[in-house]
Amino acid sequence: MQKDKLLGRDGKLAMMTDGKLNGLLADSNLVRLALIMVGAFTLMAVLNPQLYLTVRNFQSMAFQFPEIGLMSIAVMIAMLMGGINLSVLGIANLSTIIAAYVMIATEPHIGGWGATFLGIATALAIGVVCGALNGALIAWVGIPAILATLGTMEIFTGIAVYITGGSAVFGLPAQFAYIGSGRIGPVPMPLIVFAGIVALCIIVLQRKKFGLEVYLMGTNQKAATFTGILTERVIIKAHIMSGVLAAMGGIIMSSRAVSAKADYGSSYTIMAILVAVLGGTNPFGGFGKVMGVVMSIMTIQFLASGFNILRVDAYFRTFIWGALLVAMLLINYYGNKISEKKQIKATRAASSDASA
Amino acid sequence: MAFITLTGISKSFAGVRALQNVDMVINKGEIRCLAGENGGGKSTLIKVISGFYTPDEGQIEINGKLYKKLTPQQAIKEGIQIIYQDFSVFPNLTVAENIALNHERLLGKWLVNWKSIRENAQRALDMIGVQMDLDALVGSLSVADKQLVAICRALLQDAKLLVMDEPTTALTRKEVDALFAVTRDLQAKGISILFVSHKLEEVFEIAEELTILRNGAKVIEGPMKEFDRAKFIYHMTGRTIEPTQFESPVTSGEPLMKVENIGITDLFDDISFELYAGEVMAITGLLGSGRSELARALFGLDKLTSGRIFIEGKQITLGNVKDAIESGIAYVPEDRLTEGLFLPHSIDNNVISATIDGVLNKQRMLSAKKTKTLSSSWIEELKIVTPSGNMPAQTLSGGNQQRVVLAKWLSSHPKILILNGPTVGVDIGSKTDIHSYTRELAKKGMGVIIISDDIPEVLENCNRVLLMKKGQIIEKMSCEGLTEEALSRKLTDVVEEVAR
Repeated sequence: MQKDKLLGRDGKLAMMTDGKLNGLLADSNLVRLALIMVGAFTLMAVLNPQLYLTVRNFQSMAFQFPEIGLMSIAVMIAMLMGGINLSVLGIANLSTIIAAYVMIATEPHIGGWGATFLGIATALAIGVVCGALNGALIAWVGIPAILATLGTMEIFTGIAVYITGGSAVFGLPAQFAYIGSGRIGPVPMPLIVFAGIVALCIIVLQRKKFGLEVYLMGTNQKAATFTGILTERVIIKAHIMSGVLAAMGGIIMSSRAVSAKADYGSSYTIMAILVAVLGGTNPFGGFGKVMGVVMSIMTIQFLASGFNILRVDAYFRTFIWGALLVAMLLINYYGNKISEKKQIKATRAASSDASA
Repeated sequence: MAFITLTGISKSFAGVRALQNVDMVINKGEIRCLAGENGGGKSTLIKVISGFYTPDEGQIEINGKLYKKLTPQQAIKEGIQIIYQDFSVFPNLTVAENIALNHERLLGKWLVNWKSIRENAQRALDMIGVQMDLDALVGSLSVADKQLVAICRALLQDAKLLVMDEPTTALTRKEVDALFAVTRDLQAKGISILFVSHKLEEVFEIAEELTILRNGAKVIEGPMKEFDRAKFIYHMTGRTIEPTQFESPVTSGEPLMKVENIGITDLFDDISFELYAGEVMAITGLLGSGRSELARALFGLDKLTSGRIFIEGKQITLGNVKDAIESGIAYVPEDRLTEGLFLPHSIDNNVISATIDGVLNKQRMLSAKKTKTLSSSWIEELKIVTPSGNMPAQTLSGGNQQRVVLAKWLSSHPKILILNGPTVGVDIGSKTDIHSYTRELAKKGMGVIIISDDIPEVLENCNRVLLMKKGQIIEKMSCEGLTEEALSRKLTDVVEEVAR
């Protein structure tokens, strides 16, 4: 990827038209998030610099957040269309369980690397199927996303529990574990995988026609139909993308555990929604940036690791996550109000210029 | 004696002055007409009277009591009742419930007394001398009956001023007569009526006093008998209307679009017409005549169940909107807010939304440069008033929003442009601009179809008009020599025949 293609004309990370999607609104959002992220990091670093500012801590954080970061982006995509995807964790676990069986069965015949490769392909394929099912229920049957994915969450998890009997599937190839636990130099593999997928998502959502259609449709599906956007197809495609990202998150998760289980990451569904909203994704649809979600998950990780080091009580942490979510919603609400006022002022000035 | 006195009312919205220093007095037992073109400020004034909008400046005096900030509750208490264009009735409730439920609710009792609801509803119906089944679901009633239900509801809440916003829009001539009889009857009971309309004939028929708004300001008022047609139109539009008729183009050779016996079961049937390049053809008819359904079908939004469509001699199938766009058809929908625009998105994104392929670079990525170039050229061409294309479409005024919708479709370089109610809720300046721009497009060889029941709009801008009723085209006329009265009569008479 050439540098000038990733960078917009003004040198900001390329969001091209969508960088101007909502002009003032979108940009001030990212700045706000960056400040919060830096603030969270600084706070934790100051509170316990000896343990926090260590290579070990950084590596440990980089191993942890990618899996949930990917699931958060999966949720964000659904939110861009004014919906939600509650089944991300279900997809993650179901796809890796089936992948695990495939790997265990094929490793003796095609070796560890071959099995790993086949396993990843299987998991991603399951992600596609699950996402397509979500999309079809929402687009064709017309079930609201929150109900459709609530239902499929139960279906996916149910299948996963049924075929495993509720216990973990062990015996995965050692090569598979490399994705979740390996390192290239000092950089953990999950972080590399995450960075690559984030770049892809930015391109697809923020630079391709498909992405713009998702963003447009998110604010007004009827107008999208009247504009010639094949809305049903876009919904299904977007949910397939969401499903694949969820499966990818599952692959990292199961690779770190070198096993697959129906109830891994049981708090991740709520967490992924929290991260997506904290990242500035508008739950009513139409607005939200991949980079916003990335900064949001990093903020959460900075805080979570800090809490670990400081030994903050687990129940109190739950309270903090909830308070953070509500606070962020309030900040966004008032932030948007201010930018709206600015816009109205500017428009008024322009129209009085025009009439003068 | 004055019931309500408005003094120096001004109200602005983002970038638009909707009302400027408006004075108006409505006396007790008077039928006053508030006239003005779409976008003239009528609706805003009604909402000020109802307490929905607080004016930026000015004051309201009702029954001798001065209100600096009138709330909707106070307005209702003073007996101000508004019957909106859509009547705001609940289709899922019965006639009795619609009429009397709110009255019952306001009594503030713990339990609902269903018996008194029925009694009160019947009492209200008796007041206007109308028979209706109290248990019928309002959703199943005719438009005229829904309106009567709304009137009864208002009466039951002790209305002293009844504001009727464009009450005749969807009524047949016979129903209009019945409504006027009820209106006069209410007047005799001492109730004031504010009749809001832009329909000339009806205003002359019912009103005693007239107030005309233009561009948010009161231009003239006085007893109806001081007005004649020409004066009325002059003050309403600000122009002496010399119907600068759109010149009929020379049409020969192959039609641009040929429609053969198309229909959709239960919506419209057996529609045939030809549209030649350079023509502006009108399709007119009352609400429910099938005109909008036909437009939707021509744009691939609904599938035809019969008939064939040819574009430049080639038969096309319209499975979805994309097919229509690819066949060179563009459609400016009736309701630009819900069907035409992505309000929170930028003007730029709205303009390119139908032609995203055109702003992709070699790598099939969105090009910011191409987007800007395309959008800026349209902002300039259509004189869209905005500080920047980055602004959300919702910051624009109605007229400018409509220009954005137009830009979106013109950038797809259509051969055929279908405009459904292109100037509804658009200020006069924009209206004139949109009309002259449409004519220009036709001159350049586009085929234009305007769907509208705005008679002056049809006569001025089109060379032909197709009249629809009950899902069929019943007459095809040339606009040359056709007068407003003649077309207006045809439009309403048509329904009369069906009613009998």
